[in-house]
Amino acid sequence: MSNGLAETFADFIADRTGAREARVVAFNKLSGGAIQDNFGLTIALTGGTHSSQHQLVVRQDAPSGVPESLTRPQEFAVLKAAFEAGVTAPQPLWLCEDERVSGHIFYVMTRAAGTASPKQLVKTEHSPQARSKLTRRFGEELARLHSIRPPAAGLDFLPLPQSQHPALSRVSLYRRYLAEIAEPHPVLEWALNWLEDRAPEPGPTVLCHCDFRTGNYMMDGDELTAVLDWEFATWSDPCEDLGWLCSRSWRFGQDLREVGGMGDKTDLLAGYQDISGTDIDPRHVSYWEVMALVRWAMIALQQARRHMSGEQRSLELALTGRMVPQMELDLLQQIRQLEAAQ
Amino acid sequence: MINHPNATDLLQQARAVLLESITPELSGEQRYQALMIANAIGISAREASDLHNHTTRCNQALRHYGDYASEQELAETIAARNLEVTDEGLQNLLLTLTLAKLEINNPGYLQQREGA
Repeated sequence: MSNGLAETFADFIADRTGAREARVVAFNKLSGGAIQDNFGLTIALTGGTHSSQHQLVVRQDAPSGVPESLTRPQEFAVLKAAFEAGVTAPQPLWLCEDERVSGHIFYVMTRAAGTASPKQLVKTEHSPQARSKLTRRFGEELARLHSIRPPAAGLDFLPLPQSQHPALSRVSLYRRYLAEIAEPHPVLEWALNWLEDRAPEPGPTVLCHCDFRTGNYMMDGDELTAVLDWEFATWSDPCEDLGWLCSRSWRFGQDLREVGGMGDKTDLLAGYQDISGTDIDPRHVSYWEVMALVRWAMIALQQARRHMSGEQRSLELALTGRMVPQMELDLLQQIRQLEAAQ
Repeated sequence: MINHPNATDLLQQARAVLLESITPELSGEQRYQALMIANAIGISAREASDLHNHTTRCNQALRHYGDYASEQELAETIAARNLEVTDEGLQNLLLTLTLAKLEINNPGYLQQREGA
């Protein structure tokens, strides 16, 4: 790991805080983040506004992004809005938009304790009470986030859904993505037709995280310590976040625990109701679970394209492209189940 | 003409060496990368061995359902909304095409879902 990069970040933080000295205690690249590079930085500041030792994360652009992904300044603004709305998220501290500093735009935020490893999280033994409390907490966190509605100060860069109908707006977007991909995907075309035909009346348009799932939050023991990875946030239907969290793709082998392999949907929706006062129709969540499978397939196809085009040669991105039939099988099974339940 | 052992055999053996002799000695990011390489080799070995049979099976299913010459033609017909979403024959065809891909890409996922 480049000491030069750590010193660059330390000098930047010293400048922002007015510290006389900024000593790097530890610095390492964090795992995960195909689109962004995340670094763990422990720093001891002397003097200035933040004189003490701090556990931080520095998040900066990797070589390329995907079309839906926010820029770092946009992500910083979303994180700030979520943090101020009471969501358990890292506190955004300082943004650097001058690429001359490190070669990329980056920002610094607080570092939460615990792990985000999905396999570790779903395998951890929790009491039924702790599991229920955690799952309710997911609903509470999303309800706090969804209290942010357009227009919101500092978030005017986020596009509003076409015709105020987030589901049909997504269908239209994914059809455009699919048209750009040479390889045929009849299952995805079929699923998009189903999503168009079965779209429920939209809920209110709210700020959605759009990637809140097991793997993108930190837990320390039984406690949720941070919701991470805000790069896909946008205005959408509340059920987009609820459906994404419940999608079969994010249960990591614990298929009977519908909420991210961690808990039950009734607890999730009860937690959501506690904070928002809104009763969510579980059928709408199921609809958005289907949307989630299509969206994950679209992201996987785009990641494979980034590899194949030479934009970012990567075995991880290449293998993600080979995962698409998994989402296609889940789509076939889930849509059949939903149709049978009609 | 090729020498033997063939590509499938070489890939299977390379994967076995990687998983049995090398990966256990690794940790962290290197172990993750080795497992990704093993996965890529596994897919390649199954594709080298089974692709022809899968393609034949899928083409037969496409012709049987609606005389489609290719998966591309089927995808275009669905996108043009010329087939009903609830058509059971169409759903069975889509399942056949998907299972063929999964048998190459991730047979373990197939077993997991069939057991679910």
